[in-house]
Amino acid sequence: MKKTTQLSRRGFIGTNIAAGAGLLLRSLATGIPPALLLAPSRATAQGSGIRPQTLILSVSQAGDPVNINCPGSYINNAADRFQNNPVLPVTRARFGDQRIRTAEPWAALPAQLRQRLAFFHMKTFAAAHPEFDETMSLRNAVKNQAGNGSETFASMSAQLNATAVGSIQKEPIILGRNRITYENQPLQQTEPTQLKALFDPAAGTLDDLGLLRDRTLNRLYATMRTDGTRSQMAFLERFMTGRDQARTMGNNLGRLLESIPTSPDEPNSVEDYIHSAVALAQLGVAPVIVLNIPFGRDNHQDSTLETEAVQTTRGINAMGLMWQELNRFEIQDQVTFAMLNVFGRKFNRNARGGRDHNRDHSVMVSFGRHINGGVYGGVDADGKCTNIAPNDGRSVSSGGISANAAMATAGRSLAAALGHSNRDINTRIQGGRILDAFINRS
Amino acid sequence: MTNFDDFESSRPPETTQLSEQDEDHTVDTNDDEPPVDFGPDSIDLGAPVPPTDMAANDATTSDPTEADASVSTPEIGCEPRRIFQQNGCLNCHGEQPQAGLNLGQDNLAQSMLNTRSADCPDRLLIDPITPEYSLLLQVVGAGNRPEGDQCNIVMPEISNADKQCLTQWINESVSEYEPPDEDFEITPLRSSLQKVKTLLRGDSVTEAELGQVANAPDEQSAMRTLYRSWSTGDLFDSKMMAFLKVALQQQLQDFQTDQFNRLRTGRAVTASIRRVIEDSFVRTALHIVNSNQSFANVTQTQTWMVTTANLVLLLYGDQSDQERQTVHTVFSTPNGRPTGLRQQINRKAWFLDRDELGECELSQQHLLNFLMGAILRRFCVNHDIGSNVFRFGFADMHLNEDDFNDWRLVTLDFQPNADDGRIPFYDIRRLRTADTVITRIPRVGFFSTNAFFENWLTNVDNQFRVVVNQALLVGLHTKFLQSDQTAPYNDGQIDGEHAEPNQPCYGCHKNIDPMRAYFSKSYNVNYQRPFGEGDNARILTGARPSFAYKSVRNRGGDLRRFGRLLGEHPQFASAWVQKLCLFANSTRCNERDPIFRTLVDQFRSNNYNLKELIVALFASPLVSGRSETLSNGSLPLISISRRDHLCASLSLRTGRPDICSVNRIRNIIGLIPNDDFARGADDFTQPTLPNPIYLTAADAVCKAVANTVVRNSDAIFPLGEPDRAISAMANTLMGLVAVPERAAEVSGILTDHYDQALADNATRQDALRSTFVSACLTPDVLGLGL
Repeated sequence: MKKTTQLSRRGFIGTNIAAGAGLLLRSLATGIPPALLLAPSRATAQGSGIRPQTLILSVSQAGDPVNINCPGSYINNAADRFQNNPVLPVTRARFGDQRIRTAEPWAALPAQLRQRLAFFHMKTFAAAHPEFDETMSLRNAVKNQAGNGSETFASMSAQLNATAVGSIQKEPIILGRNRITYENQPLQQTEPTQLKALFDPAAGTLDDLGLLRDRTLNRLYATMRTDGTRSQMAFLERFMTGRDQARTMGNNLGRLLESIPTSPDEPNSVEDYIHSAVALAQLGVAPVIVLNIPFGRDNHQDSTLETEAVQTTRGINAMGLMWQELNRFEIQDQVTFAMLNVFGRKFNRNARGGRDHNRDHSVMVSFGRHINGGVYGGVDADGKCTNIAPNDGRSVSSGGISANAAMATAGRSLAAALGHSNRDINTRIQGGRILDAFINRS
Repeated sequence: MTNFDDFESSRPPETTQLSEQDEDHTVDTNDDEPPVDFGPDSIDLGAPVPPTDMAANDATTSDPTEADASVSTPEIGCEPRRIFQQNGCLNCHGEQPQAGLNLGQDNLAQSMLNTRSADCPDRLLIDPITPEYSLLLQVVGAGNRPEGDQCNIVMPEISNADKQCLTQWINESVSEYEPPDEDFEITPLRSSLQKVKTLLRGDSVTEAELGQVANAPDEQSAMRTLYRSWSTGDLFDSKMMAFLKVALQQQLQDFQTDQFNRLRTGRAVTASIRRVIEDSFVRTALHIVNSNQSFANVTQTQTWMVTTANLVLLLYGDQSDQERQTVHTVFSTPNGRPTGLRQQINRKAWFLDRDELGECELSQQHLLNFLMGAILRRFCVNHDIGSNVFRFGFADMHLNEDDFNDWRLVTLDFQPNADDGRIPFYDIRRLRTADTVITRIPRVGFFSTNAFFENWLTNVDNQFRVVVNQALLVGLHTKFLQSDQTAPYNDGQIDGEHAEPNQPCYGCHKNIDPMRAYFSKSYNVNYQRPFGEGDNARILTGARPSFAYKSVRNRGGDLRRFGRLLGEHPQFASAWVQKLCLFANSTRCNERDPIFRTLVDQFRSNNYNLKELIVALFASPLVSGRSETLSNGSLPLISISRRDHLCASLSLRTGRPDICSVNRIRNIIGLIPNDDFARGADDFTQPTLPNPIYLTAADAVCKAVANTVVRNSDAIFPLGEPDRAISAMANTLMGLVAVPERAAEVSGILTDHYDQALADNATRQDALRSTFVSACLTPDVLGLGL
């Protein structure tokens, strides 16, 4: 039986009867969040057997060494300088239908998660941190709605899935200091503790006059409508839509954020981000939620690779926590996770023992209902991305999907797993191809 | 059923020997691509980098320099991808899409139509309105350069036949393009004026001000007169400081304090340190603006606005290794030792009237922490300190609160090897009255401040590249681009390990790497005077700095030279016009716009007088929207009021200075986004959309403000005079004083709200506060440009 979402009295009063009372009554009666009730289409496939997904996207401008210790990054015949993390024990574990060598923390994730946990080896072509924007648009492979220019993957996915998943707002939500644009406009960045502070009980009883204020605001807005320019009217419409969305969000988010900060000594920890992201997904606030899960950061000088080991372990545990929370809210089949870093790190350690930037190899980690777990592509002994066999996604030394097309292929495949149609994918992402082996259409 | 609370409940993985063949992942290592041959390098002679000889890499490529003897009609069915392939364009712009451009992709025309160039954002790859100005044609010599264009991307020329083919293809691609059918709409005069007044001050346009411009024969001239009057005083200074803090990247995004060997100070002192670090150069720049100096001085000035605390922090990094080892003592019981400040300084024996301290001995390297209110327990004996760090506040510190507020101009005289005449960082007594201090590391311009260094930490791998890049982004508002043709000096400064000539990275590294030495000459990677070994030592020893960027080349000198080159660079003027465009419009201006170019020229000829530029720009159609420009098209951007603007407006219009510091508001004001900057980005980060998070935060802010100001004793919104309070909500808070008709209508609506709330059994207080919140949540308050 689905867990119910208990709307607080305050949350109920804070809503516009004219706009959403019926919806809220249904939500109260059924315990289903309003956003889900607005999105019956989520339950129907877009002709592909794939249910549209909310995306939780972890990004990093630091270029974390995710690619170093994950499945597919342990190879035979590697040169001495090719070094995975020496602190992390190596083991074998099953991901999807594959049994693969990996750092132990990956193997410790729940089997159900590992069944749908994929590691897409690719290259981002980026060698410097400021190329973050390019990587977020898959090296400008992602196009805008007209099929030209460039757009971030997060923006594209939000545009394509906002209606299908019935999210309250169209735009992605950014948790933390991650610069992601939507339709090439920068988005607001928030911290979990700030979100929580937003819902601290307000003094007085002004909330009881919320409905009256709504009516008054409608009248006040009408006074602006008579002689405004198109741009002014567009802003006003946007403003009013945003206000409606804010009302729908209500106070439920605050209740779901009660556990934050998970550690008083470390506000806005990665665990806080996980809780916030899942809460936002559970309420259907946005089709894409962006955060950052550290995996070792910009570790040029991590001479013993201890930091890499510690953060990798913690990052993997954070993914496990996310899985746990998604299951707690029973939305694990409606939310897909992916990780996209500006670049990977080199397997060869530098003179100080740390790792430098690697434009030729990175890994997109992802899991979701429509993702087949396993390794796609791979890395060669020089620490560079290999080609990919188009039929089953194996790493191959030549032929198949070229390493240069791996990132676009990863993007297309992820887009398909998110429920975007082939037509949209062909319009919005140039290059690469959908790797069918990656997609679980059942 | 899986227990999600315990990951170990999964089936335990089997461990195997590492040498066991993993049949899923056998790879062949023979997959290297041959390096691209860029031909001979003649940059030693200062010659421009020769065009890449793409023909050498593709056996099927015809000679791209072959000139057709006659103009012939293009090949029937000419296909652009064939041209790109045959001319070797796909080597750089194919599957490895440099500058994000893939010329081998499907739907080529569609993907480039109306698409801005990554390197030249004011240009379109295929321009549907004026296809002859398509950048794709210009870079291969087939198109024209529009007037005012600064884009200097050059690609290898192609044959005349290929040029004609591309031209034909582009013309066909745009032949059915229909531009949006939107006529230009003039922005209402009041909206223009209110926008600028919000930007420059924060309060409402008055009827008199509106009439002054509306009735003037020359509207733009009248605007300039009005804006000039708004560009003075405390309100303007506050706005300018907010702008400069972001534009000069002095707003702290991080605070690692490596340049101070890690501060361990308490919360209040840390807040004061952050404030003076952030504000110092911002005040310096404001002084430059207000005293009508050349704004280019921000790249070169060594006369800064500082407090005594700033001087302590700035001079700390000057120490030699030996000086850092000097022992100081700290005592809590005088026992006959002098406690006067002069004697403490001279004797290096410091008195702290805290019994639990005991006696402490610490090296001068750790003395800064002591002066700032922290001392490590391990340095002390006979103490009663309970934690690793003993912290104390202003009441006990040798630096007092006045030392964090005594702003004045001080000249920082850079003498790298000075010994005599220096004031040590701990000599608070002399620093309090100094108007000139000798520094052994350069403090020259915005890129050498404590704040800038805190934001852009470097290390032995990065080697100052980040601070060089950010300095250029601030000073010149442009990035290092592979397309920059400016030949670098070949002094061996290009780091081959980082970027070899046959790698894409080389295009930028060839220009950025030689500039590292401007910084490495004077700083270690912690931005201190180099000393000792390891991370404290000098890197790039013996490196000769040079500057080669967008047609400007220079060699030698030190950081002062770097600053001068920035300030004298042709790009400096347009950079700051653009930054002010962003400040005003939350979006870029088109740099090809004749108005933009005129403003740039005027800024230069006016000795870079920023205040005059502000007046001229804000009165121009680029900001006013009173006539059509290349920049504003038919739909200028209207934005949410971001934090600095919103707080300034609320403070002014409620009569409560610094209202955003009130407790409840302070906790949530962070959810109102502010202008910001990001690593590697030229434009500011400026969220403009009224999303639910913003509006929920605004709702909370408005309620908190209402609770604060709507009181019996309030002069503007008195609880006991609801009519007067409501009138103030319409006229003052919402700024409708210049539009009496609408103000009256709004007052009526707000009065209805108040009356209905009372009828619903709300208290007078709640009813009036709710009315205030309604007014506060309107786009008149929360929008910019309406």
